[in-house]
Amino acid sequence: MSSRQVTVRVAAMVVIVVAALAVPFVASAFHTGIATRMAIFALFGLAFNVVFGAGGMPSLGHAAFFGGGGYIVGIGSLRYGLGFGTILVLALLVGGLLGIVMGLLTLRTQGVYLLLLTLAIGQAVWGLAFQQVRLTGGDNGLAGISRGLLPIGGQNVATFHWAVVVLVVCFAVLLWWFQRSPAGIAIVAHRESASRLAALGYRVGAYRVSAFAVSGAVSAVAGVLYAMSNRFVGPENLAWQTSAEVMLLAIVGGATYFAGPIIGAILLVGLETFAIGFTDRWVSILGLTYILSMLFLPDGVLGLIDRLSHRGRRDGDAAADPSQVAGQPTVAAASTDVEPTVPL
Amino acid sequence: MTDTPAAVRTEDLTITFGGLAAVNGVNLDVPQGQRRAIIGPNGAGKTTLFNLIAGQLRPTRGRVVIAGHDVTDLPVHQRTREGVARTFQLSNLFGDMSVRNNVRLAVAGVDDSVRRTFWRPLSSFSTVNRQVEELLDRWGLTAVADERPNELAYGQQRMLELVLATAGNPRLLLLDEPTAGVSKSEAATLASTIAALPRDLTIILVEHDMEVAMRLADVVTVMVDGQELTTGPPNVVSADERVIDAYLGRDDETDAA
Repeated sequence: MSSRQVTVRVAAMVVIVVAALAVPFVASAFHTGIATRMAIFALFGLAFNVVFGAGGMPSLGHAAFFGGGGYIVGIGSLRYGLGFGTILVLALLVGGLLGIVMGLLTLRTQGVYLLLLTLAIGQAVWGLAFQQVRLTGGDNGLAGISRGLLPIGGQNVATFHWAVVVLVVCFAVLLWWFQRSPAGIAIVAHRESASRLAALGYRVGAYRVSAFAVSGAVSAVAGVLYAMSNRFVGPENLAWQTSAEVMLLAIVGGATYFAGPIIGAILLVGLETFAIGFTDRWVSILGLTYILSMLFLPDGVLGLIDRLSHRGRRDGDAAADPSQVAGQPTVAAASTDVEPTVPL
Repeated sequence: MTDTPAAVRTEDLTITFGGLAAVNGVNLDVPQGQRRAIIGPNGAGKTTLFNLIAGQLRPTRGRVVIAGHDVTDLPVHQRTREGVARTFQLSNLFGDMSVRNNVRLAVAGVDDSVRRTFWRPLSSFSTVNRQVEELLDRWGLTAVADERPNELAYGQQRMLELVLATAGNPRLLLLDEPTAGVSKSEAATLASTIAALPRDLTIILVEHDMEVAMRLADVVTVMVDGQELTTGPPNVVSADERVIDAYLGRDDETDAA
């Protein structure tokens, strides 16, 4: 990546953060609330993407972390009177532990099997919340979660929004930092070639599990903020549709880009707000969005932007390329030693 | 140092898939610093034997002993820490990250403190960076350090495979058909690069190209039907009637003779 590209990306991030902070000055309380939701789903998406976009592991169980965070703030504040700091630490711990469990249980699975197994684990957590009526309120959920838990001015729509944006930015920076670390880069490398990574001395399973742990911990924080924003947590926050929604927002924004889920969250929450004004068939619209983005935007919005902005440069490259390609050996003489080998 | 243990010893190494013994009772003994080629016709079990030594496969019976340590039950990543490194038959690189990051991961892989770090960027380890730039320079890859392996010429990809394998200063290097799929001239370049590796590094290579195998190896083991047919110096092996019958005679590669 050239330094110009880096500058453009950093500038774009600064613009988005400044715009997010400015929302309460220019928008109504209703629209500020929508922006708050966008910020929360952006954080959920960023956390989800540690496993999905970076790690290449499709999960349909992330609602367990998100809803789990919601229940931690619900149960913690309503039943035990815990403060926000304690709840935040608890959410990180429980989300991380749950992530470790999910990572361990899915250690040997990939692709659609991973999808099904994470879905099953997510639904098990959902069922648990549904049944433990005394603790979770069962189908009714837990209402009356106070935004006033926040150390600074949670009661006001604008100050709550600012507090959420600040927390989201903090955790987003931590995730970004993590993804540049040796462990974070090894997680991406595992997506590209697990066998090569193992041959370089990396215990691949440990990196898979830590991806789930980090992802689960931060997803739970997003869930805490979401429950506070709604003043409510219910089994629907643990349902598989929530997992599908976060996967979709990562795909729409561009799953292989760090900022993809941020763009995806803005678009999807925006679309949802818009669509709910006309119809209650939101899930159908989600499905349609999925099909359309798979057909026309396989790399998401950021992938499209990337392609458009590189087109000029790539054309130039292509013109210079043939000479290099002509000097290439033909690969036709490759040997065909087909012996039985068992995949890792 | 008297009585140095063999770099690699296999004892009655056997693996069966269904009813088929792909490798059957192989006893290898490769002394420290030797360059051993394993050759044989298609389906002879060369690659399977290779994967048993590298740890990709677990044997049905028998043991793998590396430098005196029984590693039969060790997974791949722990064998790497015992000083084993390998290349893959088809380029197996991190195709979507820069060449530099590929090499960084390789250097960090054998350094416990770096490998487990999650609180500071990989690019901030100056010891790693120094080694990486040195490797890129030595192997002539500095110019393409910011490119992705997927965009490199195939010969350069094979070269990068070698860089990744040797970055951790292994004691035993396993090469799985290092010249497969490249042109004659590039094969020659790769072969001289391999020949120029330090002499104290033990190398086992599986090779289809007889010329390359004979040129690089001190000792050649010929495999047929999962078993060791014969082992000896290249000139003796290539004159062996049984080898000519089993391998050279039946092989279509005209350049093999």
